[in-house]
Amino acid sequence: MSREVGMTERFQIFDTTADTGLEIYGTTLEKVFKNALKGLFFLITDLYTIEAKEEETVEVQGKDWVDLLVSWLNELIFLQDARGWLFKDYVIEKLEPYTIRALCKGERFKKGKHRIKTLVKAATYHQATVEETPQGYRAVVILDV
Amino acid sequence: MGILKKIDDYRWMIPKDYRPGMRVPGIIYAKESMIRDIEKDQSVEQVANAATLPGIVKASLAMPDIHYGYGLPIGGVVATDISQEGVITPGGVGFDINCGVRLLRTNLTLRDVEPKLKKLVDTLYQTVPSGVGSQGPIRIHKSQYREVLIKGAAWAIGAGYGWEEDLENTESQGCLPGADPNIISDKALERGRNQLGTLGSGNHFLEVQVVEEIFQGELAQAMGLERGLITVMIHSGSRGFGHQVCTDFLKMMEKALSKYRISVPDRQLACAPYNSSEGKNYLTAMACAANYAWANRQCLAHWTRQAFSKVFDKDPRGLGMKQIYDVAHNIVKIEEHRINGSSLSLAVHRKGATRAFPPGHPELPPHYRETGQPVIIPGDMGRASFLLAGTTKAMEETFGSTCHGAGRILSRHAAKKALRGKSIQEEINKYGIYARAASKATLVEEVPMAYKDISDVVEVVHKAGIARLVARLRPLGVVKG
Repeated sequence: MSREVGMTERFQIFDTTADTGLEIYGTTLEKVFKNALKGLFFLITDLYTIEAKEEETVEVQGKDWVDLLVSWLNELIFLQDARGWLFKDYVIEKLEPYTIRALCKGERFKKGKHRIKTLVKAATYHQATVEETPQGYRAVVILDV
Repeated sequence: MGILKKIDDYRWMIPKDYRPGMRVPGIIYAKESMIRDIEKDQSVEQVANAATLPGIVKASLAMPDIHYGYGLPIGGVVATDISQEGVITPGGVGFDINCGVRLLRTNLTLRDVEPKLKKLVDTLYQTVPSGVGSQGPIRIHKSQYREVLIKGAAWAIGAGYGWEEDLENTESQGCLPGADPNIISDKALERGRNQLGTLGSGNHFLEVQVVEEIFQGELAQAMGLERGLITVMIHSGSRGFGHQVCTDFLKMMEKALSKYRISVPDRQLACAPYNSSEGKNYLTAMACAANYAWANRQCLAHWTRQAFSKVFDKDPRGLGMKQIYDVAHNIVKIEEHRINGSSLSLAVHRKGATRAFPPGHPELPPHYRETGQPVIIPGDMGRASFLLAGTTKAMEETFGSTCHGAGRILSRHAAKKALRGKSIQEEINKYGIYARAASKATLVEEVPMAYKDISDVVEVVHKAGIARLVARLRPLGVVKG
């Protein structure tokens, strides 16, 4: 069921019948949140077409790590759908229980330069997890597409 | 066959003792040949999960188009008693609030349309905004935006998009009461502002069809259909506005769980009692999103009429482009139902399920009092769609609900693989259909073989008696996002 898209990116995309899931890895939580951003925009567009030429500060709160990760993805989905942001990277400014603030790097959608592969409606709590592993962390989030 | 116990040829039960915490049994409408596919994904577990919701009445139901969702499965129907501890759950509605279907008729026949089909579909594609990131041509001020959310389809008609009579041919007259824009987040407002009047992407579509078979002559006639006539079906929802409303309120409901000491087996089923500020606030916000969706489909129908008018050089009234009906298939509504002889107010959650009110129901306009409510069931873009009518049995068994569509059986990735290198155009041409899509990827993901055979789905609801077949509509041309 699962298909790999390059372990260097440290995320995998998997399918459910109607939706799409992200399986995310990182040696630290900071990397998990970064790889979640990359996985999301990998689904939405072609990552290589995004130039990291603009920045946007994104801050999100949650009630636990799962809620924070789901809320983080939902904030990025909002910024993409409402304002056309496409991100490829970030510099973390703060990551603590349960807040994240990051300087996200990318640019706004430009017709001709970017294509939208998938419209992601939202990140769901369904079977969402963030767990510690011997190598660091593993997280799963199912997206409604 | 594991968990599911056969009740009769079209109903299967998940017994209440299947899992601790289930307050009622689960009942899935299906025929034997569908059970293997249904048991393959986790949708049966999701029916059982929903059976644990506080205040649930009678049974956790699923229609034959059931497939894996999040929270409730797609095809799920759950009713809770709001006079008791009954809860409201956004996960019982989904992200695309008031995703639904609208059906227009015409006086045109296959002979009129066939020679102009390509031009017609191209014109529809140019006239009706579709695709990811598409912006509608509608620019609204803040005060108009509030009106969209409060009035729904009536706002659109007031602004010149459609006919007054469209309202009575729309579920709930295209407006849920109790919508208050003050409850809506700035994010939802921003996300929805430029998307009003757009079809969207994914499984949303606009389709030109021909009436290929009539099952109930009298009902078809009352709904304005006869064999060989052309119809248009529009499938769309509340766009980014509804998605953001659901996102906002799921986060709020997450917090409400501990406040009201409710435990759910899936966080996506987070809920709050109807009689709580969280429950009431969600219903208020959902009503705004539902009204946004009805305004949206109203605008799409208007442009559809304009496109036909342009191609056939006749005004839409002259083309007989009346609206047959418009149904919501992702929504929760407060409705009166008779349970064990007494009338109860229930919060009926339909997630990928369609209302199917019977003949004589007071919510139906006079011209549908004898037929029952028109029920519009879109199929995949290759095979067929159906028009059905609501029944008394649906009212008795399924809270006046029936199926909503074909239901996926292949994931999007599997759909791509299933084409085995054939082009999507080749595959669609097999069905003799002309398609225009903003994105080829969407077209591939929506390949007909990714869906259950819609004929099986409607056969089950017809034979189980929770809707009556009226007509089969064959697609000719389709516009996709």
